[in-house]
Amino acid sequence: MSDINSHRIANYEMEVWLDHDKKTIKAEQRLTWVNHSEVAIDSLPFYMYFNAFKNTESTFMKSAEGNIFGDDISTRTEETWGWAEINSIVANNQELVHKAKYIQHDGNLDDQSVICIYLNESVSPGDTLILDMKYDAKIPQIFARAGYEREDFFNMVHWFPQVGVLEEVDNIWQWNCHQFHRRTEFFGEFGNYDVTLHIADHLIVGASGCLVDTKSENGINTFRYIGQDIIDFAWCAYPHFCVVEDKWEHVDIRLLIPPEHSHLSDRVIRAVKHSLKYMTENVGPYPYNTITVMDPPMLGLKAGFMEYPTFITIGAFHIFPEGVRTLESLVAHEFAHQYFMGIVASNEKEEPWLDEGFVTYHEDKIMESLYGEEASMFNIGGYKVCNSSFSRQEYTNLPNPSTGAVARQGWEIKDGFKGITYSKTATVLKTIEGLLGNDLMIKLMQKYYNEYKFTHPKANDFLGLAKQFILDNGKEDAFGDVDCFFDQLIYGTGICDYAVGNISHFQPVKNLGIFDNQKEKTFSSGDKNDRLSAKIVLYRKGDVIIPVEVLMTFEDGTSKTEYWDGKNNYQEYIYHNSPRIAKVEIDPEKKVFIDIDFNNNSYEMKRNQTALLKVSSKAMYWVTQALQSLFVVI
Amino acid sequence: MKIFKSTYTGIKLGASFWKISSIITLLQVLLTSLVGAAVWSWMGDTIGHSVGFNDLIKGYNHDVIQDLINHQSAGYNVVLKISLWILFLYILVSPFISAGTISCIIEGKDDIKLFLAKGSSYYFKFLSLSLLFLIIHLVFIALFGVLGSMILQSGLESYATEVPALRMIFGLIIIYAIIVIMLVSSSLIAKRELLVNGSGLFRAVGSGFKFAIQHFFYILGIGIIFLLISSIFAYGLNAVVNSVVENGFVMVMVALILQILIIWVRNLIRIMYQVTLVLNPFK
Repeated sequence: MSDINSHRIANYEMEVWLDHDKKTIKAEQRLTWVNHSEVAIDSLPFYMYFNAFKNTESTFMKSAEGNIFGDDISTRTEETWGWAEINSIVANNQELVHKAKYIQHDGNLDDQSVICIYLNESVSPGDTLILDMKYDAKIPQIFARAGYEREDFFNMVHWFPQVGVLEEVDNIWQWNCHQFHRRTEFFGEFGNYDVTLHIADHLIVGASGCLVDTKSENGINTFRYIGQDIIDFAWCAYPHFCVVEDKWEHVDIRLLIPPEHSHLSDRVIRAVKHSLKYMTENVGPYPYNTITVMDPPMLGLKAGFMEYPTFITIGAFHIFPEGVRTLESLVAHEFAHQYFMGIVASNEKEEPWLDEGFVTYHEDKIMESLYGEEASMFNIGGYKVCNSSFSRQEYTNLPNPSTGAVARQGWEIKDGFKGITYSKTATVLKTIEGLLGNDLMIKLMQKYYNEYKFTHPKANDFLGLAKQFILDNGKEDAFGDVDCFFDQLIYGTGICDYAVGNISHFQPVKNLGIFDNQKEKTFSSGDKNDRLSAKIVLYRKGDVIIPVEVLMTFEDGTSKTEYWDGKNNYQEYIYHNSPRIAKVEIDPEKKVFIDIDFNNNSYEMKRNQTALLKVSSKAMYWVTQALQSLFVVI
Repeated sequence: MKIFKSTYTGIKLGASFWKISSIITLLQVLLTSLVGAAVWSWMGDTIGHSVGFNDLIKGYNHDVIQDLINHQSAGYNVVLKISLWILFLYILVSPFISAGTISCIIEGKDDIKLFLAKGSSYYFKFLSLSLLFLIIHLVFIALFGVLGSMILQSGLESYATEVPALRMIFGLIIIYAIIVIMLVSSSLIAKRELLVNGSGLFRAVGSGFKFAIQHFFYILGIGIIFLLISSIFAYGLNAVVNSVVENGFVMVMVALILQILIIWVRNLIRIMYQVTLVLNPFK
């Protein structure tokens, strides 16, 4: 890759020696950092995330509340904890290590996951700082994807002292370098990585970036990787990986998969290729020459399900029926992170919905474009589920779908992390797609990608762009109040639920009763109208207001579409001299995908007895089968 | 070859018990129609008028079903409870069916009157026997459940891959299936003992186990053959049902009839199995 895509602010040259027996690394790194701000900088904070795994007093461990991905930390022995320690920091030939200090924004003085290096001389705007560092690290048994497991499995992620992100907030330049919390992920600066790994020759290695050189000497293999315009660097090693290589256009695909999963290689590769194709065609070009996919063996499963630049980890299982496509979905999800987090590098800690939600939406789109919209996720034994339905249900199935807003900082999320951050966001985006139309939605995503690639957009950047896009394309009527639309769905906790309340018919009679006719009171028997009037009552049961279309179908086959702005929670329509109503459907095309109950969106005057018969007879049939199978011994 | 000869005879003789199979099917369908009625009432009252409900004609619809369960869970719980009660009720009905069926088999008559009469007269003896075997079966289920979870946990912790644990679980399933075959066979022989020799409960059970152990491979062979026949029929007929496009009343009725036919065939195959073991061991 020769094009320069990012500003390349934080550039690393590293040399790393892995001692696989002692589970340690020794490393030297040179950081070349460019002060892209308008102010002089006299200190730089670094992530030291291995120290989050040093003891139970770190902020990560405290927020984990004793359990990390099902791992009971109370049983951990001495050799399973990890740490990182910087031994030397040199800038302008001056040793600075004695000036480095762990800092804690949350007041937890025991936390050592962020270290601040104070410079002797400040770095002026536009100037470059070169920092030479030496450090050691003890690799933990896997915590939050990072670490080792038995049989020399290593997943080296958030492993090196990494500089934070200097950003301008409200016209003030400040560092963004949060401590490691249980619920937060990563936020790094763009740059180039030139990483040399010295690793025992029985280990098979995968990493971010491109492998440009390998050497072998005295039982040690040396690998040199170069990654350009990326925000982080991760690598892994394991002796038993099968390596599957393939290519999609300019992209080298490298799959590291344990032998017991190798029969699934074709499925993984197909999913990677389709993800590349879909995202390239519908979001923007994939700017890197490589993507490495690591499927951990069962013993390292806790390293799976994660995204790093040009390096993703998945999680397969020996038995994986073709019709269960959660494996492909996972590949699509982690790959889509290359775009949302990797290229459009929003802050995963402060605004996790901007990556996880966008990625879940695109995961659904990738899968549905590959396997169709009916059964993209599950197609087994008549059980057919598409990805977007699955995402919607992850949100609507929450015990309390109003548990929190989409826009929440990662460390504040106590409940509904997946259901809200991932799934509600994806469902909101699907709603925007419904209201804009698929073609415009693709253009919106392409615009977001083009304007914010290789930068660090925030929520307001996307929301501002989306609102302007809606206005520019004359779609504001579909959204009602555009500001209100986003406020409700991104910052609000209300639910959206439209329902057909009641349908009734009546025969209007005119001129019936006693009338004053000159000086006499006369009775009029009324003018009967042969044709009926129909009254339809609709409800908005949730707080969220989104304009909807309402389709009225009459018994004579004619139909009429009404537009309801949804502002009132009660709406009625009366049709005089009309045929009888056959059915009423709110949002018949399911554009408002965020509606929490589709079933009450419509009402058909004639109940579908055939469907009832079918469902009831199926229930009867399956219970009979259960009777026949369960009690064979009696 | 003894196994194949017995099986062939069992199938041939068993096929004549179509009336008994029909009455068992009728009893089962009557019981489970309560579940059908509960589903009819629940869905009809809640989403019966929804346009989305029509999608269920085409097959499973995740949105419709999940929204229904999320928002109409009371009716769902009623259906679940009724289903569980029916399973419980079937435990009580089963001894009647067994007593009637095995009596007819022993007397070689496909006679509904005989079925009803013997079902009634031997009901309580068969109920005790059934409960005893049910308890033994439940003990084995618990044992294998605990063993399975221990294997899974220790296997995943001790090995690099999930494959050894999966192999062990697979082995455990095979052992469990063998035990179930032995239990079913012992239960059948015990029932025959009750009817033919008028043995007491424990003596009959003892005879059943003794016979199963003494003729382990014979019983296992027959069990496997009938398991295969039953599975092939169930799979094949289910495929036929699934191939029916239920897009209108007529096709839904066709599917319903096919489903009842599957239930009937499964009952008939079970009778054939019972004939093979009860009537003609070693003949």
